[in-house]
Amino acid sequence: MDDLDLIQRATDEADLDAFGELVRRHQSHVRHFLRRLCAGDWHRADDLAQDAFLAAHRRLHAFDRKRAFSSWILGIAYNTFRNDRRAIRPAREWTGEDAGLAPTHAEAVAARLDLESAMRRLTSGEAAALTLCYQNGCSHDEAARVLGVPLGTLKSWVQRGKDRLRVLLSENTSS
Amino acid sequence: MNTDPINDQQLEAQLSQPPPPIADDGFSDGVVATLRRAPQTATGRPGWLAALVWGMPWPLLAIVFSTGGVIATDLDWPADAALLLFLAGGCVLIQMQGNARLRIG
Repeated sequence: MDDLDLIQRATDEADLDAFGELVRRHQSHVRHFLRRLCAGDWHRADDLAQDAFLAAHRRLHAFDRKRAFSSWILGIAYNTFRNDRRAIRPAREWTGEDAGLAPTHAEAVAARLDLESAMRRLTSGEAAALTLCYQNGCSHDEAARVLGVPLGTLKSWVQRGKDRLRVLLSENTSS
Repeated sequence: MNTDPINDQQLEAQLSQPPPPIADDGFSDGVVATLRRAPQTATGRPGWLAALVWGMPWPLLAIVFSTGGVIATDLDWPADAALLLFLAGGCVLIQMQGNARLRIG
């Protein structure tokens, strides 16, 4: 059963189990996305992810079936994050604890830790743009639509984010 | 300082590396359980009568039911019973409305 079938059952038959299946399928990338934006505050990220899915359920009947559910839910997640940012709490110091990383391949793990640390120094727009374009495989057009910004802004966030990451990661490598 | 700058390809390779999936540690069950606790507000599509009652401010609701009670006493029905019924109905609806607001909050 694909996402559209589940959405149909969730809206037409008010089938919460179908919506639960949608949440199960998409929770990982939504939580990853928000964890990036929340700069290491994973509890806040997970709370926001839950709020995003609840908001998605409320608006499910307005879902445009020509779009991918994965992009749509990321857009809601980003809006949820932006709405919450006014009451932002200081991010916890990220230690890699609870990271869910496999202890094998030490170099890959270390590289990811460096990347995650560097990501925390970017603005939320830059982190969101890079995550969507590289990790979620969105095109620039699609990422701009998800984040609700003009294409030019999206491209400048991607470029600026990459420039800053390059500097931050090079500093890490040389230290 | 910056002695070994990372090139674009290396950076893009790191960025594109898929993160380890986050296990569904009861997350989806939590979302569904929240929805089950507040199905009326969660769907966002209550029936028109519920929407009317839910959206009506409680003083207006009280006026509607008081007026109903007064009208009822002018009719030939058992006036007291009709008045009591209207008042009880009003109280129940106000209570339901209050509960719905609590759930939304």
